[in-house]
Amino acid sequence: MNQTRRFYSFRSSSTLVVFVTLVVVFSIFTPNHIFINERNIAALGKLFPDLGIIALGIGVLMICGEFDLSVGSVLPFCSFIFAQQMIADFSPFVSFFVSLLVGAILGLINGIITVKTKMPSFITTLGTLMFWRGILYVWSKMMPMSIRTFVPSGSPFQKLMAGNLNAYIPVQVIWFAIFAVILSILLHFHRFGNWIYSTGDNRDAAHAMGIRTDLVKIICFMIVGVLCGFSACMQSVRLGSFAATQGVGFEFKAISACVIGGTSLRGGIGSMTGIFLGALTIPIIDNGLILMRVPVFAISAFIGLATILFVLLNNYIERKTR
Amino acid sequence: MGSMAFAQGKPAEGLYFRLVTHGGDDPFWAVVQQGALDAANELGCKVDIDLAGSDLALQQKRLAEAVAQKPNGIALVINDDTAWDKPVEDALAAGIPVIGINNDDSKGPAGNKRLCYIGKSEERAGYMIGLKLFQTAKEKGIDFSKAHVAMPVEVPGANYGVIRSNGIKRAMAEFGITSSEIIDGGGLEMTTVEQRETSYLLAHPETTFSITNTDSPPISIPVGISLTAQLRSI
Amino acid sequence: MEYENRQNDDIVRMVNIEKWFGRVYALRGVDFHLKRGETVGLLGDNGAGKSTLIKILSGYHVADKGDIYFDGKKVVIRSPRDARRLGIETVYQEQALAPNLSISRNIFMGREPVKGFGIMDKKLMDEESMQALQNLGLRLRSPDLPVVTLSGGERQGVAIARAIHFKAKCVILDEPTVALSVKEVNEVLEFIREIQREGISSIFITHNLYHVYEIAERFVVMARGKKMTDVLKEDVTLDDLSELVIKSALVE
Repeated sequence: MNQTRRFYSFRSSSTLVVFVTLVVVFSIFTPNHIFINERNIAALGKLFPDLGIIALGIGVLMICGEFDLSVGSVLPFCSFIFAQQMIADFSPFVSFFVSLLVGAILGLINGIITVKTKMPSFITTLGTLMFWRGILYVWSKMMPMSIRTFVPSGSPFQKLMAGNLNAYIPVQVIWFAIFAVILSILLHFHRFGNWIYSTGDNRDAAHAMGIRTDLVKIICFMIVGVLCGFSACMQSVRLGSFAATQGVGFEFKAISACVIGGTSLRGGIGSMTGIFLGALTIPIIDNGLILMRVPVFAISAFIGLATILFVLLNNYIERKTR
Repeated sequence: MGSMAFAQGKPAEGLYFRLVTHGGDDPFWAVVQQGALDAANELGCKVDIDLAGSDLALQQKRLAEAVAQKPNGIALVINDDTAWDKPVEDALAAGIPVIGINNDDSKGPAGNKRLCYIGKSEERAGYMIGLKLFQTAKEKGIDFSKAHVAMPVEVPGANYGVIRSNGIKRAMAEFGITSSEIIDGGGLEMTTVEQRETSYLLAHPETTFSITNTDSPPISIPVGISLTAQLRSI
Repeated sequence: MEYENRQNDDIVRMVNIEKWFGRVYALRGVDFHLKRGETVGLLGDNGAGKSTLIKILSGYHVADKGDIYFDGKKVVIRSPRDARRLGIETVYQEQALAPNLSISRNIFMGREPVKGFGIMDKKLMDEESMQALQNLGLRLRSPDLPVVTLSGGERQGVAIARAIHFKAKCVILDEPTVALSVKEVNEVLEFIREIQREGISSIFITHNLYHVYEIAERFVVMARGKKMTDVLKEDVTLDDLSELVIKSALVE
C-alpha cells in the first residue's frame, strides 16, 4: 500500500502507466503485432528524436517557468547555417559546432529579451518565432539546399547523426537517451537543477536565497537553443538537405509532449522521466493509431484528446496524493 | 551605358505585372517567384508577387489591391471554383487582362472568365502520373487484382489535391484498380510527414502504390526516397 | 561619535536612510539599530515605511541616501545575495519557500552542499535538514516532502530552521504569524524563541501587537516614512504600545 502511494507520489507515474498501457495495447492489437516489429521500432526511433530532443530542453525551460515558442524557427535557422557552412567548404564537424553556437546565441537573445523586458516568454518567443522565420525566408529565399554531397551515406558524420547501431536501434535514439541522461543529472542531482526548480516554483524565494534567477533563465533558454542546433543538424543529415519548412509546428508539439509528461505550465513542477516519456508518447499514439488502421485524418483529434486527458489525470493524481 | 542601350531593345520594357497566388510558407513559391523575377529581368518589365498563406479571403483582398494598382496584367491562381468568378469579371471590366496560372477552375473556360490558363490540368496531371506508374508496374508484372493506392496529401481539403486524385482514380479505373485511400500527410514538416507515411505503409502492407500529392520538392524528395525504400522492403 | 561607541553592541545600524519611489517620499531619514541577540518589533500602519526599510536591509531596494553598518563595518547592500552573504536572512510569508520543492531542497536552496562537479550531496542535505528541524522541535515525516504539504506553521519552521542552520546573524521576520491558526501561531512564536536562544538578532514585523509584545524586547513604531517611537519593552505596557501605534498614524 505504502509502495503504491509512493509510486503515485511521483508526478510522472501517471505518464508511465499510460505509456506502458499504450505500448501493451498497441503491441497486442495492431495487425500482426506490427507495432513491435523491428521495422516499426526502427522507423519510430529514427524519427521521433527530431522533436524529442527539443522537447527535453523545453521541459527544463518550463520547469524554470518559461516557454520557448521560437524553436519552430530556431531549428530551420540552425539547419540553414549548417548547410551554408558546408557549402562554404567547412567540414561537417565545424559546421555542426557553428550551428550549435548559433542555436545558443538565439537562445541567449530569447533569454535576454524575456528577462530584461519582464514580458511573458510566451509573447517574446512568439515574436522571435515569427521574426527568425521571416529572416530565414528572406535569407534562404526558401530554396532547398542539398547537402548530400557533403555528408554522403556512410561518411563519419552521417553515421554519427543518422546511422544505425543495429537493425532495431538507429543512432538518433542514442542521442535522445544521452541528452535525457545529461539533463536528468542536471535537473535532479546538480545544484543548478535546484536553482532551476526554485526559480520556476517561487522566483522571489530563489532570488532572496541569493540565486541569480535571471541568469538561470537565460541558461535554460540557451540549453533549448543548443538542442535545436543539434536536432537541426541531425534532421538535415537524415534528409540530406536544408528545407525552409523544417520545424514547422514543433513549438506546440514540444509543449504538449512536456505537458503529457506532467510538466506544469506554471513552472516548478516536472521531471526528466516524465518529459522523456511525454516525448515518446505523442509519436507512439500517432504511430500506433495508424497501425491500428484508424483513419489518418482522425489522428489529430486523438492527440488533442490525449493531451487534455493527460493534464486532467495529472491534476487528479496530484489532488489524491496530497 | 552599354547595358542601358541593350535594355532598350527588351520586348516588355516599361510594363508592370502582378502574380496573385495563394502561396505562403512553402518553398514551391520561392521557386516560382525566382522564375518570375528572372523572366521580368529578361523581358525588361517589372513584376511583383503576392502571397496569401492559403487564406482565400486574404488572396481576394490581394487581387483587389493588385487591380487598384492598374498593372498591365495579372496572373492569378484560381484555386476555387466560385470565389474567383466575380473578382475576375470585375478586373476584366476594369480593363486589366487576367490569366490563370498553376490552378484553374475545374470547369475550365466555362467556369471562369479568365483569358486563358497556363499550367497543367490537375485532373490530367493526376491521370498522367497514374497512367505512367501503372503502365510501368504492369510491365514489371505486378498483380493489380488486390492493388491498393495510397494518396498522401500535404494540405487536406485543398482543391488541387482533390482534383488531382480524381485524375488518379480515372487512371486506376482503366487498370481495374478499385482500392484507394487519401491520407493526411501531416502538413509541410518532413519528420511528421515521414512518420505518418511510414506508419501508414507498415499498417497497410497491401499498399501497392503511393502517390504523394505535393508540390514541395523538399518534402516529396526525402519522403519519396524513404517510401521507395519501404516499398521495396515490403 | 555616538555610533562609534555603540558599534560593538549593534549588529545592524542604519543611519539617516532616505528613499524615493518616483515622487513618493517613502523614507524620510530613518535611523534604525538592532543589538546583538536582540528582538525588535517593527510596527506601523500599511504604508508607514516598515517594509521599505526592511527591503533596503535585505537588498531588494537600494537607499537613495544614508549608510548601513553591519557588524561594526560600513556595508553596501545591492542585492539579496549581498545581504545573505553578510548573514541577513529573510523569513517572508510568501517569499521564503518554493512550495513544490522538498524540505531539504528548500533549506539548502542556493547553498547546496556538493560532492564535486556541482553534484548535490543529497544524503548530507537530508540529514542536516532533519536535524535543523528537530532542533526547532519540529518532527516531520521525511525531508523529501514538498513544502506545500506542510501546515502554515511548519512552513515558517522550515524557513526559520534554514536561517538558524546557516548561522544567520540577523533574521527578518515579515508577518510570520499572519493567516495562521492559534495553535500554529504559538508554534511559530516558539520557533522565534529558539532564534533568541541561539543568540541571533531578529526584526519582527507585524500588525498583531499581541504576538509581538510577547516576544520582542524593544519596539520601533513608524508612520509616514519616519520613525515615531523607539521604546524598550519594560517602559511600555501592551495598552501603551497600542495607543502609540494609533497616535503615530494620526499625527500629521
